[in-house]
Amino acid sequence: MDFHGQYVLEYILILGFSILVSLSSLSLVYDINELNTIMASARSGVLLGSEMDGLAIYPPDTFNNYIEKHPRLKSGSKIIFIKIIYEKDGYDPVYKKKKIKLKIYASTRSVYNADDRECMGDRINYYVRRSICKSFNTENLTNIYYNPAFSDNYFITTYNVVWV
Amino acid sequence: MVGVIIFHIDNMDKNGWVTIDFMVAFMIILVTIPSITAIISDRVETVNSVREIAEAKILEENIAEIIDMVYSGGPGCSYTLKMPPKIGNKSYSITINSTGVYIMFKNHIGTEFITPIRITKGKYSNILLEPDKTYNISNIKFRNNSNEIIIEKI
Repeated sequence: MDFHGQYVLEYILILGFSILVSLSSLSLVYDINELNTIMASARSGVLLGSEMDGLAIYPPDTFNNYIEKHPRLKSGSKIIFIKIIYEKDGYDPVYKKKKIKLKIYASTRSVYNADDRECMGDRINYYVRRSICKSFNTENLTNIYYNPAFSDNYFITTYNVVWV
Repeated sequence: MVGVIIFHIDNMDKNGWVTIDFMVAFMIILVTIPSITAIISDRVETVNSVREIAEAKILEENIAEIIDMVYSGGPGCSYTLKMPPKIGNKSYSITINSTGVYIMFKNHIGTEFITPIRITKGKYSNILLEPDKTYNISNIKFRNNSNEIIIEKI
């Protein structure tokens, strides 16, 4: 730079090109960041859901139901979280958001009955959806079961937990 | 391109320039920090919630263990139980009957099984243990040579 404030042409070209590349990749970065936040919130929800299953402390309606139909669940169960994945499921025209479905893989060696496992899985899915809604402040957009969950650009539902 | 944020004080002239590295790094931090904050706050809330519920479960299990211990100790065995005032600054309630120990905490119910035995507090068989109170749990001989657990507030 001389005293008249001039720049080298190559510097200007490189700077302009860098800004163009950065701006064009900004939307992709934002999308990936949102997906990362969804998955991190989902993991937090899995942690809480599996701990609630493990400690066997439930809302009164659920507790009374378990006394009659799922007595095994009145005692705690150890649950091991394996992994969580998401699958893209198209676009929802009603909510104008992209759809994804979360699938959670877990393991337990203390509960063998399929109905009991489904109850535990439903609880895990509930806390996953709740955690996502809390992270994005979208609790007012969904129902009391947080189904579906919403982020800024995604409509999120869950498969039944896969017990391995 | 991001690399280390370099603050060349000696390269900033009187017109207030900053390096492009600093600007790009600053923009990336601005985009990342809100999402990290949301995740961290959610995780901290989860951990606190699990900690409180675990404390409630431990209290419930301790009471069930004390009742089983008093029962297995035979007639004359007794134990003084001091109930905690709160769990995690929240109120709770414990109910005991012959089927088990039940805790109500944060609008959730849990139960712990005990040895099937007659448990009474005066004429009541469904006993509420209040927070911050002290109780004497004792094993006495009941009619027909069976045992009974009596719970009395001290």
